Amino acid sequence: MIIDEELNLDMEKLDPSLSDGSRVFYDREVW
Amino acid sequence: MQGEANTLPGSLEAIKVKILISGPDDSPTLVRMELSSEVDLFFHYVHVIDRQGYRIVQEQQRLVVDFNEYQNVLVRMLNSCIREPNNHLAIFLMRGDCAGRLDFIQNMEYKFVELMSCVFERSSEDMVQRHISYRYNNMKIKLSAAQSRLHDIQNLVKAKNPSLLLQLQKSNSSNSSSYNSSQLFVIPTTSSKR
Repeated sequence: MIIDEELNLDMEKLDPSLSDGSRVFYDREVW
Repeated sequence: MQGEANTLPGSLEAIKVKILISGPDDSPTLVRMELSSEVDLFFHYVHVIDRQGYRIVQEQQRLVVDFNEYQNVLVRMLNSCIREPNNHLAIFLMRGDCAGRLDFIQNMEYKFVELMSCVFERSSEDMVQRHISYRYNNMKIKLSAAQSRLHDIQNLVKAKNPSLLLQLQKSNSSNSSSYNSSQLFVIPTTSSKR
């Protein structure tokens, strides 16, 4: 769904993990 | 996950792992690994390592890869835990003093071999709060987008096939009445003590 992708991109900017300028290299749920 | 000094029994939980890097992919200046959980919103630990810190870890754990490869090694090990849960284990040990340790262990059938350990620190109260707010707002926006899309679809079905909409609404109301009676939402009001 396009709208979701756009929202995700917008929300990504607000992710506190990225507040120091770093970027996501890996993001997954591990059991 | 295991509690303080192996005294508490461990539990099997899905942990969200996020690896973040600063600098170029093939030559990072900083690698950060964050652990969070959907079961416990207040669970948030972070492992931060730079080139200098890695030299000490490399020596202590006799690692043969250099820092430029570190994030790829972590990814490989995490993926092995997902793909081969019987052979590769990730055990997170929590200590009372806000520290934690993630051990990657390989089951060789005749012996458990510790491959690597990463030292973690519990995130500050402020950071935990920011993460919870972010996740909550993210979810709220997604819910709103999904509701608006559902509304559009309902309007479309109403115009094209009103009897189908009626049928959908009937089955939906019977489902939601049984759902409401059995669901309880609990919102935690205080942070959990780990």
